[in-house]
Amino acid sequence: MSNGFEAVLMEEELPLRPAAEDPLGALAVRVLDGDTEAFGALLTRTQPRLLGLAWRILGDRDLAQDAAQETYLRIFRSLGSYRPGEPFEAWMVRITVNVCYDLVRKRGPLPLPPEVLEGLGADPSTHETEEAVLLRQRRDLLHRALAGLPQAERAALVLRDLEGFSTEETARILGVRPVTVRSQAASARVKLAAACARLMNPKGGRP
Amino acid sequence: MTNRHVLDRLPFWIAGDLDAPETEAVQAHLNQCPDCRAAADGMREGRAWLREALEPPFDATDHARLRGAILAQICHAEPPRRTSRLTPRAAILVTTAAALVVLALTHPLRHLQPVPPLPAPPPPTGTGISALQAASGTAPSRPGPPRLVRARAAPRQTPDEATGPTRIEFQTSDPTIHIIWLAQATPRPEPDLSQEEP
Repeated sequence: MSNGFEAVLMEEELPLRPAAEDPLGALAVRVLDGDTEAFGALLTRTQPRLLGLAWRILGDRDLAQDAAQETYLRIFRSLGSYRPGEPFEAWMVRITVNVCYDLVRKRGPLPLPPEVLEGLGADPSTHETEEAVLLRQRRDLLHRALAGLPQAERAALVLRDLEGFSTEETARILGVRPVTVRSQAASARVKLAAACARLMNPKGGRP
Repeated sequence: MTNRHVLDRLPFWIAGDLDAPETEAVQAHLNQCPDCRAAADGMREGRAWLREALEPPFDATDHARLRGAILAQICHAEPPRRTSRLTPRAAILVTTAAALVVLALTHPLRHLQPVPPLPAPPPPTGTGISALQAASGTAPSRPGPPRLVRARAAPRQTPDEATGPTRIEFQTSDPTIHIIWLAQATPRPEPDLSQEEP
């Protein structure tokens, strides 16, 4: 069949890249070829980012660790469906987001993380400097604002503004149109900006 | 562009999600409007705070524990196997091709003319085969439906012709029915890079 036909088959997927440009994809292929130790190398290279992503989406340490563990198991079981040449990181992130969504669906709305709740009740007159108090308050307020975001907006914001994916990549990962990602991320930014404005000017009004 | 327009576009502008003319218009407005510039600075600061607040809190111990738990479970898991996977577009194409082939094969059968009933055989008066058939009670055999006698693909194209349509021909036993199937692949669209973050 011609190259044109092949291009049509792959149109809706992420662009293919040679294995040399995607070391993670090369490791995945090695695992598929029976080299299970390559999975350890894959883990070493991706675990910090994947765990951090799960925490940013879920906002809870324990849940994020559960999600990361489940994600790696799912990755291992699904490696057979990974298409060599597809960007492995985006494929992995897509699984992570799905696992996080599944966890949220099972457990219902997420409570605020314990560290944030502790921070809200803490006495600011202890040994903390003024700068440290401000930093903690800012962090707690942002966590509360994030916890109030709809799940889709939060995921779009995290992938777009924190994980460094482009709008197109984020759209492919989340399975939505780019215009939806732009709209969701912008809506989340407005809500967070409003939260920041409240922090700067707690008595009301615009900063 | 009014202040309201610019403030509405700031959440898109800050991430490079506006097209080039709108980006330029917002930038031009910000250069001359201190209020909107302050709002843009506030939004930029908010993004920085977000990055700071969402710095993952995990240390080496957390990572080591998680790694151990994952590897322990992987040891007992079934090793992964390669599976063939069709993209949604490929699945549609394959299904369509299969439907066309089935249609091509059954098309001659759908257009058969009803065969008029044969007149009653005359009483066996003569000799030869007809007399023998009449004596044994067997009717003369009717001609069967037109059968597909030939289905072939067009000769393989040269690389220069690779972008042209693929041609598949079916010839039925009826010389007036000749089925030609043309399949044209469409080229892959170029990604729109103008909306990406600068």
